[in-house]
Amino acid sequence: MGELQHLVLLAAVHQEPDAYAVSIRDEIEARTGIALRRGSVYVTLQRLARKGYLASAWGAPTPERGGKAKRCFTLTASGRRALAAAETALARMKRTEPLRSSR
Amino acid sequence: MRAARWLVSRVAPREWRESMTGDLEEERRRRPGMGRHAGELWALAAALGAVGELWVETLRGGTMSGGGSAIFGGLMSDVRVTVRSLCRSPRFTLPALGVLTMGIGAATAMFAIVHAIVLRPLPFDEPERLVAIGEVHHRLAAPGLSNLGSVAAPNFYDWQEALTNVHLAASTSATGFTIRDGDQPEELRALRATASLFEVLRVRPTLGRTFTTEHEVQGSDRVAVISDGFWRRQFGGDARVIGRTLHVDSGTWEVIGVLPAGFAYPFGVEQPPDLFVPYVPNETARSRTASRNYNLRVVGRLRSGASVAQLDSEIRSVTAAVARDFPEWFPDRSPGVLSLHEATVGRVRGRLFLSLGAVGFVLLIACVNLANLMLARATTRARESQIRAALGASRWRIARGVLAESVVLVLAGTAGGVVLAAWGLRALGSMLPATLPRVAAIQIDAGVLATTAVVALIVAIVAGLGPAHRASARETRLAVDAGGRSGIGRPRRTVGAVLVVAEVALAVVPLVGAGLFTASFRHVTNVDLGLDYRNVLTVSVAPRLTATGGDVQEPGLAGAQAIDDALTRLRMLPGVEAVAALSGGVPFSGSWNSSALTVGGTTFDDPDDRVQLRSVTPDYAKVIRTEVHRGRYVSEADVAGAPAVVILNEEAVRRFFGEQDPVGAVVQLRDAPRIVVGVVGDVRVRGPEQPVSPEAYIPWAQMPSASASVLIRTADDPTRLAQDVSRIVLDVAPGVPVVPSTLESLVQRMVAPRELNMLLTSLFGVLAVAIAAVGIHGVMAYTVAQQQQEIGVRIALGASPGNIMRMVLARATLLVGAGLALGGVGASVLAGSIRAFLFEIQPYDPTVFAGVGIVIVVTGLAAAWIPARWAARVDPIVAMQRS
Repeated sequence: MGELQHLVLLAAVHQEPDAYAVSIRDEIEARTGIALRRGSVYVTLQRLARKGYLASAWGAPTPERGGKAKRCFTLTASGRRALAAAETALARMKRTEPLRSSR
Repeated sequence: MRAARWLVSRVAPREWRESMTGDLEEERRRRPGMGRHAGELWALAAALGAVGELWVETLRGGTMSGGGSAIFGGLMSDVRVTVRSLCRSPRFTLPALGVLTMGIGAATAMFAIVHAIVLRPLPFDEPERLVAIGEVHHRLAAPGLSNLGSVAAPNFYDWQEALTNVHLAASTSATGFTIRDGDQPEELRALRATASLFEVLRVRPTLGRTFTTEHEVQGSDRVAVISDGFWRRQFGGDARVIGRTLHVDSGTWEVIGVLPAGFAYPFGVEQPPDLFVPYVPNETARSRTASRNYNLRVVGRLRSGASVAQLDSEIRSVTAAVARDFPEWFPDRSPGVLSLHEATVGRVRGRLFLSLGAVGFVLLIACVNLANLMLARATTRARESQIRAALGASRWRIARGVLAESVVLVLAGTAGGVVLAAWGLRALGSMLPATLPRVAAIQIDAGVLATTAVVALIVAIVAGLGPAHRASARETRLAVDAGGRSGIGRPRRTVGAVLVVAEVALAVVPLVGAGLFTASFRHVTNVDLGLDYRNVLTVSVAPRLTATGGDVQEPGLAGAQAIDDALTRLRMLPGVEAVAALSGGVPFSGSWNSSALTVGGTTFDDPDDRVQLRSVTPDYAKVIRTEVHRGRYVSEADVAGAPAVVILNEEAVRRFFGEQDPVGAVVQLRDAPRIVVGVVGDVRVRGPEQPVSPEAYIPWAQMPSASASVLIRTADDPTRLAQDVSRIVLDVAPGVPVVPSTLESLVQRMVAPRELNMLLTSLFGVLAVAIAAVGIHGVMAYTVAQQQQEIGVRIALGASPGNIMRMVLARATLLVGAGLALGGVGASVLAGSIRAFLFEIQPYDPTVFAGVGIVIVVTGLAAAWIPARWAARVDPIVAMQRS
């Protein structure tokens, strides 16, 4: 899982149940200061959906959105597992004590 | 947000359209401070970015559904499959690529030339407002007025004061400044120009400044603005060049500015100027005396709101007013105004567009050829199409595969073609005449690439549509039920035959053009010029200019004595057969002196009738090997103080004496009486395509000059003596740049434009025939493959290999003949349009048409030979087993 996909998944977790492209992008920018391109967010959401990590559903249309519905994303079970695995891997890499044999 | 909404709703993948539109709407509302237009732009930019990235994802193999992604994603996977398939079919791919590379390469190269020289605007600010103004003699004016002549200084100054519609500038022809660099003097090209030239052309120096009207006064004029090339060559690109001095033969000049790289003015000169100095008119320049000197090139910028038509009308009325007071200045001349672009490219546009038309035929043939090859391929893969259709592939899906093949082939062919074009332009560069305007600007730039891309797209669509339709046609997909091959083969053979006929017909046209231009060029080179120009070295000793502009003044040069010394020493060089001095312009150099001639009280002073006047030493006739028809030539006895004599040419005798024998008659030349002592043969001094001019030759000793050209006839290659000749001339006239040339090179320069036309059209004719040959070969090979069973039966029944070969070749001849007939009609219709470009040949010359016919038939038979041999070797048992 790439860094961008990792960030988008985490942002989706924070924004659930209202995680859509705009809110995910805002969340990432607010927490990390990184202003992602809109296209990058859409592409990443699409890739994650294709991998089965995200499921999408239509929200209600609102006047603020010109009467257009949101496409909201939630993590699937495999998405949560993939995110957990990525977090674990990162945590292990950050540890400073010597590696122990896995056996 | 309308534009952004439209974009997203049309182009974005379907599953993203609604949410993306809403997202953009939401973000736009968060920016209430943004104005309406700024908001529109923001939304459009955001939409473009988002949609663009989504499409890049698709092209990388994303399987997003909906919208254009279905088409595009599928096409990309087709492209991948196609590339693999083409790599596995070299017998199809290589000829197709070869044909496309040649066709697109030739078209790209030719378009690059036309684009740089004719189509691109001139490299100045608002170039459409620049005009050229000249004086045209009514009898010498060519239709369309693209020969603007030079302007006399008094006319320029009158126009400058009176015309309100234009801001004028003038310049002279480039003159030579000699600069010493070590032991070898070097000649620089200097243009004398009015200060307004830089304002009119709106050119700003990269360093320093340009001169002003304050410098157009004697004593203040020793300033120079140098070209970028000269700055780098002479001063090493030193930024501290401003204020440095140039020491040339005529004095010292201060460098005050450096022009930008790429600045080019005037166009179409062999050597661009190294420096620009102020034009300083002398007293006669502003007054209308008897002597008229047409030596200024005038350019102008239309003032705001003015048009060429308005300027033309204004200049005519101003000139008419002057003509009322000075009628001798405008007996049959009038001013002409052209856009500077037209004045620059008008005389070359016709020839270049002709060549572009010829290459257009080549490209069309390549297109037809590709369609033919792809049709054959679609047919041989009919089985595959049938299976795919049976497995559920839609018609569009099958056709898409064929289109993808067309796109991939054309893309690869275009890439190869652009490389070929770049190489071709480099090879052609040295052959392009230096006098062709804007030659240095020829390159494959963004405009040329964009046009090539559009043309390639059209070729891909045109070539691929037919085969795509054929491959996906219901009859093709279902033909496995109806008997397979024979259900497809016959219609394919007919279409293939029609395409071959079309290719041959198209190839005839450029080939006829090539034949006509080649014949014209041959005729031009066979014209009897009246002298033997081979093995003659020429060395010019050019007159030096002093501080004042405009007039030639007597130099600080070694005078006529120095020239006599040079002649004596040159005669002693080994390999030299004869040496002569000449003033008044070397033949074919484009320069001459002229004089009115008075015969029997009648003065002939029309521009057409003025004699070309040359003073020559006695050996001149020996050097150029011209014949004396009557009387005698210049001799050693014709010295100063002896009776003044003149020798006329036959043309002068025809015009001024008719049937009367001129020998012994007294004529007036330059207000001095001279006895005609001889008549010589005509020399076409203005070149093979120009009419003969009346000429007069005067003994050098009776009209010596301090400026001369020395001509040396050698036993063999004259350039081998160039170094010795230069040394001798430098010895007797130090500080004079010596630039040896040959009469032969001058003649070659004159015919260079026609030679280039011949080479280009011949090249395109050969390409056209080669591509058509590939088409003929392909169709005949396919026909033989389709008729294997029939051929097998014939052989089994007793037909000999010779019979089979004759059968195949007969079919090929039929196709070629039909194409030839059609092409002959087309060529006849178009040939009339190139009459103006031909020389001593009719557009419907039967020899050329017959020659083209022979070439086409022989090529067609050669292309069909191998398939005919294949047919003759068919094993009847194998052939019948395959049925």
